[in-house]
Amino acid sequence: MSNFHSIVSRRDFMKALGLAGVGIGGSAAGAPVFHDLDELIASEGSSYSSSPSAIHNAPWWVKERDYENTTTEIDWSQIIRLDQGKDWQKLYPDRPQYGSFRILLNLPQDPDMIPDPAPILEGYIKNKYPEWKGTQTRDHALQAADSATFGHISFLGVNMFGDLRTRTPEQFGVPKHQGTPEENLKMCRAFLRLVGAHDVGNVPLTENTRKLIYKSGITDTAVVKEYQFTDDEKLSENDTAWKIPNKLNNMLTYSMLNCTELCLGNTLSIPKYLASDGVGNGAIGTLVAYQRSFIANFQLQNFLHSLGYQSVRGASYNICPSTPFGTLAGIGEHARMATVIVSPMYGATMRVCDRCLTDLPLAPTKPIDAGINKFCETCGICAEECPFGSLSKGGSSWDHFLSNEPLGNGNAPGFKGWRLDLHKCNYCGICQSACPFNSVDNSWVHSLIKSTVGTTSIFNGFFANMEKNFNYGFHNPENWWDMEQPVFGIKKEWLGGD
Amino acid sequence: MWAIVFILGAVVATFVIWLLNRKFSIKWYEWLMGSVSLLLIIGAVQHAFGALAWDYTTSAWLGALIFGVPALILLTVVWQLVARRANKA
Repeated sequence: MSNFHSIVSRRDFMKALGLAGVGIGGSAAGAPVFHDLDELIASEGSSYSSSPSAIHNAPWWVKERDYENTTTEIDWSQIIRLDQGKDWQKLYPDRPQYGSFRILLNLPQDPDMIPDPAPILEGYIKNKYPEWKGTQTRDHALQAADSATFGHISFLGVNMFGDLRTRTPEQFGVPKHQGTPEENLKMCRAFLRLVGAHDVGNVPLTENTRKLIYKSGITDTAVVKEYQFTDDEKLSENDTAWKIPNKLNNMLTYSMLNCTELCLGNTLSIPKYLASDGVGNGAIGTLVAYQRSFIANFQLQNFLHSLGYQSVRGASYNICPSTPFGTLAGIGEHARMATVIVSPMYGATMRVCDRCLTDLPLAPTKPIDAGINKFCETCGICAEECPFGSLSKGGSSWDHFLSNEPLGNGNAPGFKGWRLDLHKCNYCGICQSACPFNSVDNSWVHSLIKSTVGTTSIFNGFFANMEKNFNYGFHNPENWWDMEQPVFGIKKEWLGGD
Repeated sequence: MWAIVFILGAVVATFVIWLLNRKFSIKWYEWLMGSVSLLLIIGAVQHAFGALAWDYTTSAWLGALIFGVPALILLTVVWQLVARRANKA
């Protein structure tokens, strides 16, 4: 007799059970309403509809806004091109978590500049889980292994115009790729999903969005170079500048998720020994996600090269900040965490929102409104949970409080939002684990709440209080080792696809 | 998964047919209250197991309490209403 039998997991069973009763009411409440055929047809052309052809497979309650009109108010006249290269040079010396960069840049190690964050983080975890035994050797080993490869696959030391190892169409003996902007965006989405991306959008460079391109960047040898736009046909560079043709005017933007459980209960949030070995801190999941993103960006630039198009690297901190482009592309909304955009689908578990500037014609995607930005105004759980006090506890503001300091990604002027105190943040990721939007589909209640939040803000305070009382947020890091880990650490519910 | 939905549907249908065959006098609002309590029970169970699957124990039990207790109260009320009317008859 065969021992083969089908397996229904506890989650599948409960989903089905819930589906029977709740599904009826939920489908009635959740169904999109089309008043006439025109609305239905219009919705299919939308980049954020539920139609199969949609670029983003977002729920019905996620609304689109006009181009460049995000839920975060922007005063484009105040937006300035950040001198990122110089800012970063200033930032390095007093940022222990950037130990790896200090080594790369031959800067002196100075771990005493800020207090050791390890006891603060240990205190946070022990307060939540008194039985936690502290960081064990296996945690150190996990972090060390991921950190070891992180040093080799980094965003410094890579050619901004692509480490191109593929042939061009001419070399293949085939014509350059031609497609409509819509077809090209779908093509890029298909490719990017293959290499690990989740959401894909495009922000065209206009008079406004061009201001978001950094004035300068930094090379692997700590040389500051300018990003210069020219009327040339081809990308070129010299000792002082990267020269970018104006025809490269599409910022292809895509997100990559953090390892879910490592984001919700970060075993690697103890950067003490990392600071001492100079590899940098960051959560293990963060390191893993960044490495994937560097590889994905490398592959994307080669893909575009073989299609017959040029590109400028936008992995991690290259060329422009991720938050505004992720928000403008409709991948998520600007939130209280400042440098982390929050997605209606994956909450704050997104690790990377990379960009790639290209001359491939691409259809633009619109910013979204899922009620996230408004919810942040009344919630503030991430700021309360932050053990370093680096997040703002007040309302959104035009103030950029580090105006006399290096601006950094989260502290630029020109938008009504929240800023991150880069001198306090230790990138532990606890704020990300605390975000209420992480609760995606583990219970029917969350679907109902998120659709309500996306429709009206009047219950936001109540929902935020319920989130606190229900004790969501940071998981016991120790449990990670006993869990059946999904491939690449990402919950299967969030992998998407057919 | 759909097998579970089918089985649950079959159980509910059988129960309803049994009620109708027994010629109980059930008012419209009792059907409504019974349906609501059934939905709440299913919701409570789904929420509890869903939360446990993501390691949120407090949420699981609180949710079960918030949705489960009203469901049981409603169900008891319906049962008593129907039973007392049947006894009178």
